[in-house]
Amino acid sequence: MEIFVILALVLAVILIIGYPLVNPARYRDLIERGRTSARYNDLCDARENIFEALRDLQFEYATGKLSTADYQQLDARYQTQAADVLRQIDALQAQTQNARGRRDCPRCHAAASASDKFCAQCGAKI
Amino acid sequence: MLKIFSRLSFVLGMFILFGGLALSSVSVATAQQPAPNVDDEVLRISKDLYCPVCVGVPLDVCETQACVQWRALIREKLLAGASASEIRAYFIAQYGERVLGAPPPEGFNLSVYLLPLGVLALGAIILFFTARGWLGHPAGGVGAAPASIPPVSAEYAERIARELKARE
Amino acid sequence: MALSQIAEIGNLTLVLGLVVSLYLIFAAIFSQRKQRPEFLVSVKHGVWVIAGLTTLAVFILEWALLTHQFRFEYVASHVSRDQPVLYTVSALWGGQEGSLLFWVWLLSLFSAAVLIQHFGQRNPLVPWVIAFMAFTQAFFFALLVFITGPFTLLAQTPADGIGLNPLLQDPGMFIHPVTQYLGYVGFTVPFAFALAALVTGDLGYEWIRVTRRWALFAWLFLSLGLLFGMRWAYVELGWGGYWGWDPVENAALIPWLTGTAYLHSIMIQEKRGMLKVWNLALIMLTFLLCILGTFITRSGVIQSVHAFGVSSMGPLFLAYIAAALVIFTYLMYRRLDQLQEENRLDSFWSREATFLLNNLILLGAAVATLWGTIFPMLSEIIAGKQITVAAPFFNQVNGPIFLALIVLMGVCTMIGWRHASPRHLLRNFIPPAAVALSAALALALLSVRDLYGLIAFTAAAFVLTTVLLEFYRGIRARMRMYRENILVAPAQLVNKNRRRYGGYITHLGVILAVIGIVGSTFFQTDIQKNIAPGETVSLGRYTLQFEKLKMTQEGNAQVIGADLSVFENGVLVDTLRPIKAYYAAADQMTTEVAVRTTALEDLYIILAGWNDDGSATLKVIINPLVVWLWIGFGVFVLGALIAMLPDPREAQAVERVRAEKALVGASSATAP
Repeated sequence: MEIFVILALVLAVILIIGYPLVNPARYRDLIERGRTSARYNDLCDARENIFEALRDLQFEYATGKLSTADYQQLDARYQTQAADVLRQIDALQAQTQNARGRRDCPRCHAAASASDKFCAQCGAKI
Repeated sequence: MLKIFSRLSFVLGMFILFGGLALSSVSVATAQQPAPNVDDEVLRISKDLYCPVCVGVPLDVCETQACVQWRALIREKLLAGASASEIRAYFIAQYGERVLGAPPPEGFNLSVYLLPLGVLALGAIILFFTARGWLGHPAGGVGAAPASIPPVSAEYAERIARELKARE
Repeated sequence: MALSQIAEIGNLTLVLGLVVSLYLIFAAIFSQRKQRPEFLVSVKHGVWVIAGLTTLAVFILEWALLTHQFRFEYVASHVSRDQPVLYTVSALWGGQEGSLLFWVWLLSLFSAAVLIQHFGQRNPLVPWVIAFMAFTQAFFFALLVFITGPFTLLAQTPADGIGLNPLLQDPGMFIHPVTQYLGYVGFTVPFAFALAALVTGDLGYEWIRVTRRWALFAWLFLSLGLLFGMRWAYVELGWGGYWGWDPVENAALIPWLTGTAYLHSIMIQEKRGMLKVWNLALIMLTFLLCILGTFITRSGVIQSVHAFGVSSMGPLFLAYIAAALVIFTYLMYRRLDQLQEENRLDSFWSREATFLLNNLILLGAAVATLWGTIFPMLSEIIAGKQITVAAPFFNQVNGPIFLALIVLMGVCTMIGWRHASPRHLLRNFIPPAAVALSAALALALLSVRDLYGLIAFTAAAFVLTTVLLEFYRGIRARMRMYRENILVAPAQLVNKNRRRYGGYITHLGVILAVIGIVGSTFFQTDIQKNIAPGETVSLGRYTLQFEKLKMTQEGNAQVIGADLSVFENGVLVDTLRPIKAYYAAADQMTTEVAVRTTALEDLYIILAGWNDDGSATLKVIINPLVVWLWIGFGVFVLGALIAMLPDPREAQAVERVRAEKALVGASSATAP
């Protein structure tokens, strides 16, 4: 009795864990997909961060933590950085998407993929 | 009947006598207290001493047998007229520095005080110089002239404003 | 099924757990190194299998505890027949073997949670995360299999068990270990992600963004662990306080300190791309201190009230810690060139700078506490002298450090990110400073004479004002910027900035707790007196009249209590009953204090002893303001929960980036 329970448990564990190894072809696409260039990742992260910084800056100015001169100077600096990052992202997108015929959202000009029905940014119909 | 009564009055008399003696000896130490209370004084002294068995448990709250005996000893010594500092000195002499909550700052013990201080001081120095290193770039600093930043083109300024609004 | 067979199955689950964990380490690494996705799927199945196995093991042990299977050694030594069901359930984490099983169970559930969160997104960090978590699991399984098994059977079945340590039979001790362990185990996840980031070289803030909530979760539960532990000590240990700087308390506090430092410094990496190496080091330190905490708690290496008897786990724990340390440090060294700072400090007068200082102070407090905790051991080894390092030492050394930390909390609130103009800083500084000074003056006039207490209260008033001002200014700014009315603006202020204002609410809780701690530390008064029935003892405004001693049998304990009438300024306000309970099975006495709580002070009474003539020795303590410690903790938890809420803006940003990456990624895959 005991030996059967033990055998059943061990067998179940081996089966559950071993099953995916039986037919590896099914999972081929798991690793290949979803790879982007490190540079693009960094640019996206940088963009989100700069916008967060700009937002912070506005709020901190509104709560009286910054003098007007400091605010204007920092704001100008982050605006420049933001423009710079946006320009680089645009360039990278243009470069990698030339072949595919990229589409823009008619309302906000955000990039959209060929399969998108609505804009991911503003929700407008494409 | 009379015998019992006289015996009772004797006991009562002795009680008042010894009780009075005991009280007067304590009232020297705690002059401001109208009703001297040895219990309270035992508590006061045992608060500063530490249990020899349990790590880090002050004597006044420890329930081990050793601590119960120590408290009894403190009471005895108090009744015998010893002062708080005398009792403290007695325990240190008898059982060593471990009866104290904090080791006296001498010899190897010094390091227990100095190491945290040293770490803090060293950390502060490292932090100061690292931060100053991070600070050292006049071009990017806030102190730089505003004119050095080129204005953002109108197209991008508008897009930045729009994206900023989308992030609200 | 016979009992021995059930025990066999219990042991089997642990052995299988060990084997599968070892397989997972191999399979996860293999799947990444050789690009074999089928092994990754196998890993996923393995994680579920381990979660199932540990759940089965926990189930078997709980079943044995609840049905009093005294042939199990663990059951016999932690449960007795007259023990309440609640503490029979909690006996699972009341002893060494059970609590290690509990640890590995939580870890296996967390591994499964990480998979649920991330597997669908094909996060490249996840296989490495699972590999490290499996490594940790394997370590704990090995302990359970080779050193200290919970399913060991006795040769004979005893008629009754010894029962759980009566001190642990308290609702506080039911919940405290659970929260403490959720915290300890929880820090495994951010650490594993940090390790994965080092392995893959994906060292941006992805790993921090993904694990911020895990770190906050673990940290919140460490805080709750501290809270419930303090509450338990306060009502159950009966020495009038809640914190004794006991080694095990310190073991819980130290990772909390480094974890707090980590939660602050990751903000700088997120916002500015700085402190990358430092954050990696901090999360490593926090995790290893959590492991060390588990070890100290469960091995009894440093003797204390929590000790469970010295066991042979020491070398294994040290080996594990050393292995994790070496692997992590090596990986960090290899990636050092990728860990350059992206940004620079704009100014010394910036929130970044105050965070750096905050990290220094928190680390200083952690070092001081750790050093003080292990010093008695070192002194005995090196100087051959037995010494005690207890509350007086920690108060002396940590007191000023914590005071500095509190003041810094106020300064930090006033300073904005990047750069603050000294003129504005000064302007912002004046109102809180004025409030703090008037508070000090008022307290001095109210004849508060304790200098340290006065300084601490002044600091608390200063920080409290800065935080409240921050809310006031934020609300005003929102009303102006978004034309919101006075009712909407405060809600939106917090709602739109959950992390920031959740953080401020947490600070508010800390300050309330500080007020409670300062009040009860510096202004405690007490008296001890032996009185006969009918007599009274007075302290402050209170007079207690001792009515009688009453002996009763309650559950598995013999209880003796002193009935007291409480008079406040001569008016009867309450009746209280401090208790001593004697547990015959364990031959142990516990104290249950009687507490009358008001907003201003706790009247705290301990039955210290009694005599055959019916007289009793009472210890009466007045703990001023202590209720604010508990209220503060409540506010603290609320703030942490708000900071943990999903952030719509963050979710949008992630969604936006993901959509764009899919777009670019798909095309870059076609165009090599």
